[in-house]
Amino acid sequence: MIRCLLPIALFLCGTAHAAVSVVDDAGRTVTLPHPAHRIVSLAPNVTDALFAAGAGAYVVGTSRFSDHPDAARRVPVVSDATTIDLERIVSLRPDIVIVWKSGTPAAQVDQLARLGVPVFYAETTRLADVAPAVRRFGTLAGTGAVAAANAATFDATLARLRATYAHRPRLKVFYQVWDRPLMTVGHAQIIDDALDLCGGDNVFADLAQAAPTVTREAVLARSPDAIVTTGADADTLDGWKRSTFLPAVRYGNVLTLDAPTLALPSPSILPSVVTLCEQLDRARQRMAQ
Amino acid sequence: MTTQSPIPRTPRVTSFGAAVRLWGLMGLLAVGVMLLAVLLGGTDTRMGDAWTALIRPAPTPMHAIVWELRLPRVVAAFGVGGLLAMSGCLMQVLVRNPLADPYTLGLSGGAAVGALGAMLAGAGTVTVAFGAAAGALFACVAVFVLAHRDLLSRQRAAHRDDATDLILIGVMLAAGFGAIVSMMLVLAPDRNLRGMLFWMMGDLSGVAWWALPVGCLLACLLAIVPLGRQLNLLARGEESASALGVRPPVVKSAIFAFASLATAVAVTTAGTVGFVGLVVPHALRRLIGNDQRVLIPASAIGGGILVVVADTISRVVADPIQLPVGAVMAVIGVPTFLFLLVHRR
Repeated sequence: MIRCLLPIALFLCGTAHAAVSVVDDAGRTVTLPHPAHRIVSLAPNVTDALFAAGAGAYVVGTSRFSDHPDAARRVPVVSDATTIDLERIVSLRPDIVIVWKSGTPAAQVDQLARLGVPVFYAETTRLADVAPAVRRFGTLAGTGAVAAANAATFDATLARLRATYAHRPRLKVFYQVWDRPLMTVGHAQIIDDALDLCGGDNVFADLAQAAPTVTREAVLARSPDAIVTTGADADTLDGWKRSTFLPAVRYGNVLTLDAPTLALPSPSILPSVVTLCEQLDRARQRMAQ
Repeated sequence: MTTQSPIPRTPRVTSFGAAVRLWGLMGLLAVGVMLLAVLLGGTDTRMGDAWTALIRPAPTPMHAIVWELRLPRVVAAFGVGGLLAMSGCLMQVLVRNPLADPYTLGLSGGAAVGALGAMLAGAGTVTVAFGAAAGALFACVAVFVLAHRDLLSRQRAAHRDDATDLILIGVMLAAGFGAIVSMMLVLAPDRNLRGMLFWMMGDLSGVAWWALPVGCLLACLLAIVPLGRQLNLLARGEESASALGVRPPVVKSAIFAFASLATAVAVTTAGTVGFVGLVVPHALRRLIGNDQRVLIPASAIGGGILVVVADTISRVVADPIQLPVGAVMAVIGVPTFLFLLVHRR
């Protein structure tokens, strides 16, 4: 790796750039001889955070489904959730490849490292992880000022939402990811965090997995005040409406939200969290009447 | 019914009365298992509450859980298990190969291509079921068209060279469908992937027409059991069977049609629940003998019991998390069957 980077480092010694050093989410210190101006992102949330860090222009490769922000769609795709195109990544000569620690296949990341490509592990699973990730990406790309400003705005908006909604009467919420098999979010998913921020209690917060498959009767037995999904097709919730003894059905709180980024642990999640908080608050008002 | 079994390998059940007693006993066991399955739930519910909800109508969550979720699911599980075990039994006679199961002739592969295709297109439950049915029907017709010489030939088996055509055609079609399914799984977006995998391992949650499998099972049994004597003769070999007055083309076509119908209904209801169709007929053959007249209804009840047990475990053991029923069945079934094999030796 050093042999590969040495000529570049020598060339850049003449310029004003200094070396950058950042600790990643695997606890490794990643040091680059100069700020990264050719960045490959292997996860949609990483791509989004890079754009928020002001490093969008430096992103030369992304993963499939990197749809946020809109500008990210124009970057060539070099991976999807299960495979990464090693040849294309190497041919892009990236200064750094940012991988999602729990999402990108480990064997292929190891191979990247063996090929001498610097790898940075990122892991954002809670809302509080998003702003620090943006700041670190800013440091990596030498765009720290933009990153710091955007990260501060993000945290301020979250704090405002928390101050507004978190202390209102709590709602028991069942969040449906998928109807067949019936999947929900456990404590490890960022949606659980978003629900908490909006004054909702995820009825399956006791499950450690990110997206557990649960039985329908467990949902009925836990008697949610609101049933929420963000799927494109609203009819996936129709099955619940027959269970008229559920508070969620009685109060008309079976909701399909227009919040396409709610599962994305990166800055673009914000508008979706705002929608979630507003809709849950309306559900709360319907229960109070 | 005669009092003597035509294939005296292990003639444990030798009279009609004994057969009825056996079926009755298994039926009682089935009812007991189904009742227990309805009462058993996860940590969020209690058995006593379930019993109260079962016998007394009231607009409570427990009543809905018992009557709208557990009962339809248990009935569907029993029907699916019965259909698959019966179909496996028939297939083993039809292709005269102990490794045959309801999926040997490519039916599950066809159904999987249809169902997964529908899921990829973003279809709902009912459309996925229709996709599965269409795929199964297509596979069935393809096997029949390609293997009609084997199924319908009037020549004696020894005088033609295509006696193994049927099973080879089925296995080839299954391999082809398997390849298409693999491609679909690789190309599918993440959000559909879990649903597709669950469908392929068998999934009894949210069954749409829960009474259909049981109804179909009864109809198939009523049609097949009178053919029992001819099946017994056919199982010994086509040549001796036709010497004894059986018309192999007719009987084989009938077996193929009923086994395919049963499998198609099961797969359409619950996805490809594996294992039960192979193992239940074999296990029962070892316990009660190889008289098809006794074995086929017994397999149907035994298969139903096995799937109800496996589905209840899949629902309860990791509550509130749901496990795929096919995987649970293999986990409990493999050691049981191996024990049975070794014990008999």
